[in-house]
Amino acid sequence: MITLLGSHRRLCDGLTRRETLKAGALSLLGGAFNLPSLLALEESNRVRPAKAKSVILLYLLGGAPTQDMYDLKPNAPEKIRGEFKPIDTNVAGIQIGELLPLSAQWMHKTAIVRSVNHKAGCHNPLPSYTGHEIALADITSTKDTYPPSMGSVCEYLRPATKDLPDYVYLPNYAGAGNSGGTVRYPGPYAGFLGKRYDPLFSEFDKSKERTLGKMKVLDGEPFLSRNARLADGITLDALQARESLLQQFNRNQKRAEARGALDDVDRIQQRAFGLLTSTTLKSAFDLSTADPKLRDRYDRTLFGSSALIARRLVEAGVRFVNVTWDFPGDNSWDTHAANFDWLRGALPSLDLTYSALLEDLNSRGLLDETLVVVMSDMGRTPQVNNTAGRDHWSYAYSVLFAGAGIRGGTVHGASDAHAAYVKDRPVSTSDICATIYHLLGIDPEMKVYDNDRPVAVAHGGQPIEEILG
Amino acid sequence: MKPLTSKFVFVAAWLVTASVLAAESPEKQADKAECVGRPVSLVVQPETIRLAGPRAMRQILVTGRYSDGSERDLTSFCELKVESPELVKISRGGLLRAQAAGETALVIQAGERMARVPIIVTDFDKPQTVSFRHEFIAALNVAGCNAGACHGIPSGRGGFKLSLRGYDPAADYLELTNSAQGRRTNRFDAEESLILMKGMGLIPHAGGPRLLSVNPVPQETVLAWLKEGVRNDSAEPPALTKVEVLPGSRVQTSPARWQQLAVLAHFADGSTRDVTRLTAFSSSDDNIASVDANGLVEMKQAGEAAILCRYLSIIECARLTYLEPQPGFVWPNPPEHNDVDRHVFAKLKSMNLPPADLCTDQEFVRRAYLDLCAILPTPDECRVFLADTAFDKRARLIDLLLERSEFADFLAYKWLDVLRSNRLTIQIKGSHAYRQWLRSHIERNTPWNEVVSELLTASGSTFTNPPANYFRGPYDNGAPVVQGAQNLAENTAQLFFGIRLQCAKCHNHPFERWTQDDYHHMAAWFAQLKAEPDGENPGNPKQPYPWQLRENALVIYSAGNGEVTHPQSGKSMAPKVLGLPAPVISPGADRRTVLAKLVTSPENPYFARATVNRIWFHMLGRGIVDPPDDFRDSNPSANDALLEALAREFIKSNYDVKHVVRLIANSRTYQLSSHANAGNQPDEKYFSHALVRRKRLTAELLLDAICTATGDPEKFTGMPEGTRAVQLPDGQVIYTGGRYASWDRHPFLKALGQPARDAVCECERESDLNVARALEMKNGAFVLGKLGAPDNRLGRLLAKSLSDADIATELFLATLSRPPLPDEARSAIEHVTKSNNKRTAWEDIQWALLNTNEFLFRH
Repeated sequence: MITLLGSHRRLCDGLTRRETLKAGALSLLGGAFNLPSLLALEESNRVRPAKAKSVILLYLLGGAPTQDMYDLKPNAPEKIRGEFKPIDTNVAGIQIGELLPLSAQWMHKTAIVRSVNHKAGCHNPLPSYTGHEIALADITSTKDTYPPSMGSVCEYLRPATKDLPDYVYLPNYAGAGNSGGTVRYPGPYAGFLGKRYDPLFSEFDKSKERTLGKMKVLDGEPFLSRNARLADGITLDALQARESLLQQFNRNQKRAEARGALDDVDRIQQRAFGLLTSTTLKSAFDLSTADPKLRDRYDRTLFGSSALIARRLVEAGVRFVNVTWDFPGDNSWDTHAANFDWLRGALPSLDLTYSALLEDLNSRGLLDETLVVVMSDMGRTPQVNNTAGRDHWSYAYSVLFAGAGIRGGTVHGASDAHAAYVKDRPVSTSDICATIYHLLGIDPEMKVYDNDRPVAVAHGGQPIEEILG
Repeated sequence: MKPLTSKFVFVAAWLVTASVLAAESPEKQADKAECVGRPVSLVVQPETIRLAGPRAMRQILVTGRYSDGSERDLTSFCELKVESPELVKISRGGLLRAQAAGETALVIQAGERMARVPIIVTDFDKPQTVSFRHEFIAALNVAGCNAGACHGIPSGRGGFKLSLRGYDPAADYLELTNSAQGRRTNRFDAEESLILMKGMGLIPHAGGPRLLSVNPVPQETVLAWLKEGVRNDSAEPPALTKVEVLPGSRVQTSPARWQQLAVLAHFADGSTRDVTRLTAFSSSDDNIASVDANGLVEMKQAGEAAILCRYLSIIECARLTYLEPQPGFVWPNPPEHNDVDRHVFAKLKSMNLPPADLCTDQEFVRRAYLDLCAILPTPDECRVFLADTAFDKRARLIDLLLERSEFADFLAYKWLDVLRSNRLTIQIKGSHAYRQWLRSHIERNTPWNEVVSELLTASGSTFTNPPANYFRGPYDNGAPVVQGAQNLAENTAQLFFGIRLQCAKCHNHPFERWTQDDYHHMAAWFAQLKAEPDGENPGNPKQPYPWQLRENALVIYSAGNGEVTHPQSGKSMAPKVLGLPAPVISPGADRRTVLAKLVTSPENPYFARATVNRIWFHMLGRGIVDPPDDFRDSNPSANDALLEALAREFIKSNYDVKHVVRLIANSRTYQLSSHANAGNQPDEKYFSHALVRRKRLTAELLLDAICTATGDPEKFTGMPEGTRAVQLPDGQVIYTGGRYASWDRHPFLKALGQPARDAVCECERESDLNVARALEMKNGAFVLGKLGAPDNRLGRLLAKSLSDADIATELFLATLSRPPLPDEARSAIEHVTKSNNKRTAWEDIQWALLNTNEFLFRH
């Protein structure tokens, strides 16, 4: 195991970083073990083995109006209930929005949490990715002092012997679709764990857009980031020739070096070389090999194509894959105006992608070991504004869970009659994260260290027992 | 002590087993006779054992003195006998406990030596109840119930919440007695109390049987307190004033690898009490020393460790050193260049670590250029140095480099990292001014105490008086503000004392002497600072977001009023420097003037040490105290004498930074090779060989080195042609338009771990290698662009129609600062010859050179 984490000094709770790392390594042996939870084995009803080998997180960036999607209020006044009607799902007594008929047929594998809320401000994805509910002065950039995202914790726990990354983020960093490209929403990063646990971001061509109904969305396919595939004009042969020269030049130095001093560096170099020459990642991103019908089934938007790649990555063994529906230009899920027009275009596409993903995973026998989550950085106002839009609102919104370890056909929590505030069983973003960690077999109480201060990865959140299968 | 009832019999049995299973106990060692050896005399602490009260106990220490002047702890190896055994019981580890009143004596025999110590037991019939604050809480500390990972976490565990390490006994008393329907502490049936049942493991407990230990006292204390009816202290007991650890620091030599500790608590009423069994022990380095719950230390291998002894709120450390002279070890007796070597070699000698050889001239020239000036030597500079045959050529090179302007650039860059020079906080103009101010001081070699004084007392506009940027804070609701007093206290402590105070903001520091009081006393220095917008540099207030540069300045001033209050007591805190007495400050004075004097005074033990340690860290890759800004009793230095000597030298030279750099650079220690020998290979602490792993070229150095090696400089937005990355005032160098017009960092620098300069910690800079960084080097646009630039070094060499051998030599010299070895030259030429594109073939060669460990790391 590579120990690059500095000294082995004692931390606030008396563990050393090395112990923490060891504990991290243990957690990979198949259970939810870290040091505190090893002690907790006696109370083992709390500790379950990992139900989910992998997670695919479908992230609707900008604040999806979930009251028009998963938590409709047909009896509310017109200015609140909006323009859509609920329809029945394949689970008796549970209804969702009429623009999601295909998703409705997967309700038996899905749990809807209708009481999610946070008070950390608008367009702030940090709480949803990390469980740390804190308002930020600047939501357009990230800081190294922020807590790590769930995916980064997976990457942190990745066994040193595994070459594939455990955290891939599609189609690029959150905010990449924004004009100018300078907005990097906080949340998906490794923060104080260190940049080495940031995700492997793919990239996409921003100029590719297409129109859904009256609205524009990003189109095309994500591709491996420039550094993770061979640079243009360099062939595999050329790289191998370079690498063999490098081996020769390194050899002399190595002979003379303190034995083992740079062994881990050599392993890192090999892994980088392996990544450049590996076919696993490359073929996961190569959609030319995909069945055209399957591609249509996912829908060929950037989001749909990314979801298909996510399925392939999970199949290849990546533990945490994020698929973000990013902004094309300035609208998207941030529906301050023309909320319903946007949804008429976007929801049928989301419906295709979501149902295709579950169907595809299911037919491959992967749904039982893959958790699919649909979430957003916030919700939207109950009141429809006078441009037929809904504004920022984080006091009640819905999050979807499906697949591995989830009790399908469940609705947990409730919003009030206007979908304005939580009426029943409030769920925090930290509870959402704790649920995901729990299903991955990572103890939500596992500590990571912000300098010397121990921080539970889920920031005190508790798994939502009621939706667990 | 009341006898344990039958319910606990099996527990007692467990204890016996546990003690057998516990670490190989010293008494059982076959080589006891060898451990005792032939002492000349025995010293027993205390000289008279006084046990007052029925629950009194005393840990004795027996030290053997030997003819060679050495000392050994014999507490675990000697025979102990009480002349009237009915008066006093001897427990495991040399703990004496009262049984009946009277006078007797303890007879100690070790080897051929005997000693006799009087024992006086008094007040045995006087009732002595358990003190909730002094004993019960301490018992919880020892068991770890109230640790941060357990019930001491603010949210508690399993619905049971204690204050962290017992800092709030009143709240703990309520929690223990009132909540959970009083089931935790059963007044009528003590043994049914949850804390006991769980603590003994009689019912499932996530934290395990914390009260089962080789040290029975915490368990006895908890049980006794319960049986006495869970009583709170009738009055506030006398305050704890001091904790004393016996025998203090000690050096032992094999076979003496055991050391019993004794801990005495001193109270405000003048009383003293043996609290060894109510003290929580831990070791700073478990690989070197382990300590059991009774305070018995076992040294596992030669080395040094600090044993932390925490009784209630006070932590004391005992520094223990254990040496294992190896019969065959011959000290190679390398020449000492200066005082640095004297101290380093003395330590290495005592640790049986033969130092590596001197590094080669090829290694030295690259090392010196990189470590002093952050640049690669040019091929010509390499050649000149390598051809020089004078004995003092290294010293002359060091002198030369210290006078180059790149030295000032480099040192300024190092300090700006931790002085938070980023334009998002202090604006573009502020960052330029900050850098110029610091750089010119370094160039003139202004005494460092004066630079720091100027920094700590700076007032006025952040544009015209650049050190005032030290106090500039982030925007608060769109308004520019001064940094919070708490932040400034933390920053000042970490930068100029090398002390991380952060933990003490909310609770007493878990591993350090610093308390929450110390923290807020320190913050009080900055309580009166205010800031106003600078009317002359209003910037562009139309920029609505804090992440958009407004180009405004701030005026920092002392308002003459404002206090810091303690978050718990609400008391107003007087300004006080860590570890120094409270100074007198005349009313109306800018508190910082007094602070600056105290910080930089030769009487402040921290300032000089922290500064020289940081310099050492920058040059050798590891601090004498490491991490370099984390001085703690529990994080002992690798070489006290060296640290002291450098600090003394620094003060004596009137805080001359260059002098210290020169001294270190000229030492043989600094010039040791990275090639470890069989004897010193495992050492990463005592500087027996150069530490390559710790010396990856940082992002900026690497960028500059790649530009130099390929001969294709980089252009940064807003900076003049030829600016090196090390000279940037901050990292934001790429202007990005778009909806939120802002700045970004250079992609290569960002990928290679350039810090955002948001924190005062050296740890903010990530200088390890990871896969993303390796990819950036192998495949990144920056590296490939520099390699392929048509008019770069390679292009120019090819245009000169040199021989392949000459080109290889030039490329090796420019990249690795050395000519190629014969087989390297051969492979290179072979590769070029068989390729049909000479240019790309040479690019392959340089690509490989740039990716060697030799290039990425400083050797």
